[in-house]
Amino acid sequence: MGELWTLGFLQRALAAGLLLGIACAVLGVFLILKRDAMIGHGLSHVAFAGVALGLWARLLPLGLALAVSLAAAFLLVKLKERAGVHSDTALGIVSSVGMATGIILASLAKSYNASLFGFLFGEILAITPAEVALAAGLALFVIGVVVVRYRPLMSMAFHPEIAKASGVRVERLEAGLTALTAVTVVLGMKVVGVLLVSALLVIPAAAGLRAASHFKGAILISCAVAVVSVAGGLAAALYLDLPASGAIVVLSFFIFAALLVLRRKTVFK
Amino acid sequence: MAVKTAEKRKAAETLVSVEAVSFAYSGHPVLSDISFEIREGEFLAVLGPNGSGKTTLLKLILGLLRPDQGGIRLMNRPVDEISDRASIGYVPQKATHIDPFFPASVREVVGLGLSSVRPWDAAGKKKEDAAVRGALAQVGMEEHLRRRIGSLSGGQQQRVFIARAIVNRPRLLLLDEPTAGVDPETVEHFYDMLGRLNREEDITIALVTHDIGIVDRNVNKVACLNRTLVYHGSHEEFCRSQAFRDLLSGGHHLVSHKH
Repeated sequence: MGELWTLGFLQRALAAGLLLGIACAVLGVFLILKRDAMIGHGLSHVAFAGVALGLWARLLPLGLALAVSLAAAFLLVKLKERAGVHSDTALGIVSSVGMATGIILASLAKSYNASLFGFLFGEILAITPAEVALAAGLALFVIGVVVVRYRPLMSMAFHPEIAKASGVRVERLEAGLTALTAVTVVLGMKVVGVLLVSALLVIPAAAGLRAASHFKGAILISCAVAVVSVAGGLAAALYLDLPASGAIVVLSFFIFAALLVLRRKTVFK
Repeated sequence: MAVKTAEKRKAAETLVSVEAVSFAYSGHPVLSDISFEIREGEFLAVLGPNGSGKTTLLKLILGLLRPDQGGIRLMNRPVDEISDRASIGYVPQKATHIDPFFPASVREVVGLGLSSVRPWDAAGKKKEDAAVRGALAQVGMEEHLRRRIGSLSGGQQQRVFIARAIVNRPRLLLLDEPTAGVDPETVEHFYDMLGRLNREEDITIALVTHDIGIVDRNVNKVACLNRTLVYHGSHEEFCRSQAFRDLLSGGHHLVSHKH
């Protein structure tokens, strides 16, 4: 069975999954602490509209999904900053409008077909070398941003007002984080699909945040949970004939639950 | 000795200059035509009843809000032009109302105050460790270095926030209601600690508080607000002033005093 992993498509699936999982885990820590855990969910719905637009216009679906998601990320920032709309309300509006637009466009394009389903549920076993390179670029960029801007990012997550008073440009950092999340969501769609991409942003990071007692530990544990979930989920998909996206997300939940129980036993008792 | 101290004060640099500042939230006036200075070495208590604009004034000084009229200068430069904030420490109101599960150690929280150190190289890490330990020692929290911030009591957390604010060895420390929700005994130690930072570490302090008792504890200047500046001067004179009596009687009828 081991020789299965020498197959190119499986190696690409594993590489892309791990890289995107790590990018999501790192970003997710900051999103959860900023109370923006559901932003991935909202932007994935908007990305769905971009995909449907691409299928309807017969243009690059992923490219359009990226453009539409970035526009939605910008809109979210402006709704919060300028219109005084609360974060969760802004997300509720943008995500439902995105999904509704996607449904209309998919219907107009008569494209409720395999390609649309691929984006909805992920196609990790059909990842191309170019997509692996994109995932590697994204993961490196996210890790690079966090290493270089570690202290301002942590400061913003910990106490935005103190961060501002210390000279951290909190609004600019938040906008950058939202844009990076939009890019990650679009690339993550190919791995686990529109419906489950936000799980990669939330569950490993939630596990890391509950298990760690210091900040670097939270980021490292989140990444470890993402790595084990992607590799284990892919193996489960292969050997147990399960859908890969579902297996990855369910496994990450089991790890989260196990860490939660362990943490309770070791810290709170 | 008194003459020498007076001369030192006279020569002291102006760290904060509030110049005819007015501010309104959505058209509702909060501060009107406020002018005063904070000079190096001062320990200033900013007093006033609820809604008198104390916190707003502090946020204006920090550049977190922009005045509708007038201007604010920090270290002789307009507040908007100051990008390096290492010389200013800030402890906000309800600083300790943080997520109790936030995964940050005391060491990490204090380290957040350091802006210029690069913790990924060995020399930077050593320098950072020394600065963090030094700041925690100043507030008597050195032994809690590795504890999670959320596991500390409110008073201990407040000390850690002070350590974060002084870790860069600032010239100016601004605190907004730092003793709210802290037990009386801890408040006593807290004021002693601030007095020591002011006297021994030469940190100029501006403290917004409801606690009128602060005027007997280390402060040498008082600014009393009630949307306008009703008093600014020495704490000895403040204790004899009408503004003080009005504040004691409930603070709703503060009257303008000669400034």
